[in-house]
Amino acid sequence: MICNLFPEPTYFFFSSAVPALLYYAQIPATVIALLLSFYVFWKGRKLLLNRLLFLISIFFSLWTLSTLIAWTNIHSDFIIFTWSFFSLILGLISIFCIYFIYVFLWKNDISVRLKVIFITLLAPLLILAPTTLNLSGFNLTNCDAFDFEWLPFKLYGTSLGVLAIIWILVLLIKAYRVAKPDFKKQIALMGTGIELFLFSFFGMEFIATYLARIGIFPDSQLELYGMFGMVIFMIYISVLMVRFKAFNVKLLATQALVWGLAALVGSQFFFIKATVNFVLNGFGFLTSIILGQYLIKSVKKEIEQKEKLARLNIDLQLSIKQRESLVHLVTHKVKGSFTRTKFLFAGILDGTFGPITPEIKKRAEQGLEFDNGGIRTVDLVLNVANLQNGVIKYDMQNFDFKEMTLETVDEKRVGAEAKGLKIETKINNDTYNIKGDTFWLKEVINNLLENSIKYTKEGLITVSLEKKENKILLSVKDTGFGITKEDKEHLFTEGGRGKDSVKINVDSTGYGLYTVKLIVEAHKGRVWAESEGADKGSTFFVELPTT
Amino acid sequence: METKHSHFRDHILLYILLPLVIMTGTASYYRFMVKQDYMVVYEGICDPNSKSCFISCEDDDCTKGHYYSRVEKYAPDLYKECGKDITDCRAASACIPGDHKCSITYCETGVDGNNCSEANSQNNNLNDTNI
Repeated sequence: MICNLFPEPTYFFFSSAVPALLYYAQIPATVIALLLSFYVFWKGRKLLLNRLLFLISIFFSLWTLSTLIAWTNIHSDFIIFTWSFFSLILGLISIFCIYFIYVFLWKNDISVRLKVIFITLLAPLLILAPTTLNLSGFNLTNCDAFDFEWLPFKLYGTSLGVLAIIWILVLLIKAYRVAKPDFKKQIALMGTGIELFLFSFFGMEFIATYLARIGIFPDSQLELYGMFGMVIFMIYISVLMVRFKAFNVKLLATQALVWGLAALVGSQFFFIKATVNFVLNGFGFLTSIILGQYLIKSVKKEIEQKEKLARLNIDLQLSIKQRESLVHLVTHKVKGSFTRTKFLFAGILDGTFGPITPEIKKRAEQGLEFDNGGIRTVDLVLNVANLQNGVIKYDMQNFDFKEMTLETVDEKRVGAEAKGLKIETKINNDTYNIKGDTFWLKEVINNLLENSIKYTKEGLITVSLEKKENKILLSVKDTGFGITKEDKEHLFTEGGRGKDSVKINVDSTGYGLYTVKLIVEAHKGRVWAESEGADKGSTFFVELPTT
Repeated sequence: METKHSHFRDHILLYILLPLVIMTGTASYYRFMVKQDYMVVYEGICDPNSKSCFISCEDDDCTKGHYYSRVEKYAPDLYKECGKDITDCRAASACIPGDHKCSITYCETGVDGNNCSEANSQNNNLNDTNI
């Protein structure tokens, strides 16, 4: 049967005789919902939450499609067939919104009991939809079926919407009270989005139908505004995806924005009548797509680079860990070998293996010295690795730094004088109490003194100590080889050695000064070196806070 | 068996709802699209000289309008008598022997604020029914 209210629409629902708002309210909302939810579904097909969001969007799309057909089509059979699903679709949207919120809040599927409750709630709509208890006839004059809807059935469909709004609100409050702060924000966003959607969708539908029935409005056009609720819901979903990585989707905010804009501009084609406007809108539509694509590409590239950097960083951390364990393995093995040969040489020297000739004694003494040097080097490398990893726990206690300095200088004096060097101390009369680890700070003074002794051929080494405000300044000055500008740059770096340092000191590892830096910085101090250049001597400074 | 049972429990919504939705869709399609099992209401031709007709005004002052009766017919009967379009079908405005369900309502002054024509016939304000 044909109602002669409108001319025959194109493709079931495209008609120029209906209000433009009909298309403007329904098509962008449907396109945005379908695009976004399909994207979410496609990126995480196995996730229940993503599937449910897509399903809700499909139900919403079916609703908008049915509404468009009911408004524009003129074939009574087709309209009444479509009309018969209205309450059922409303029920499905309500129940699946509740299901969606359950999964969102508890990150798990719902119980079988709850599923049975959902089926029971939907059963009357499913069973009665094709019967006369839903629809009994059609009004050809008005081209609608309002007069033939069975009110209890219609009210049941709408009441499921009200039930969903209340049920979801209770769930949200319950979950919000026990949620962690970050998830609380997500609950607030999701809750606002879905409640706004349901309220505008069901509220407007109910109000519009009611006002049309009592004659305040000639038709239920007002319900069309309710469709914008879906757009709001999708905006909240996008925010959740972008800000909180919800739905396990890496969605670019730009992508959502561009496609949303294109959908809004594109939907205007359905009601534009003037050719000029059609052309202008076409230009705007194309421009938004082309520029949008370019924008998406640029942002995508930037994100890919950031992700690549993050991956490289993880790889680097892994490599560092592997290298550390390799360093530990090698150094322990090497140290073990040195220790064993050390005891062999010591055994030879103390006569454990019988009497020895002076030549063998000389060689054994040399061997023992090499072994001790090797063990020191291995210890140095091990110390660096441990200091870097934070394995070493500093035993912080108050002590007199002046006493420690004088004691260390005395220990090194014999070695220095054997090399023909003179060591002197310049210490101002003051208190030098600091808080730190005595073992490691002694290592600092040791390292600096040994360094000066090794790199000074002749002359004087001056160890000074002075107090400036609440800081202690230790300096070790020598008349040695000095530091070139080039060498200065990697003086305190891991394995950093001077260009010719190996020529002067064959045992140079490049770890000594790096160890000093790590220890001093761990004590909230700083270390640096000054030199006027090659062969002009150098001064190493250590600044430490006093207690 | 246990696995099958738990699989069904996990997907109970899918296994019960989906067939129900398909069945509902099929039943609706069969009822409305195939059998056209529904009543149709429309404005039938009405002669104001013999019946009290409803008056439909086309403007606020009611200078232009037309008379009609309210006809309710079973859709399959109407299809049989008039085809898809009832615009110029006289059979649409009358209850014909053989119609499964048919009623014609004429205007009744004072009911629901109806605007009725003055009729000469004794059949004024009566319903012709054939149900």
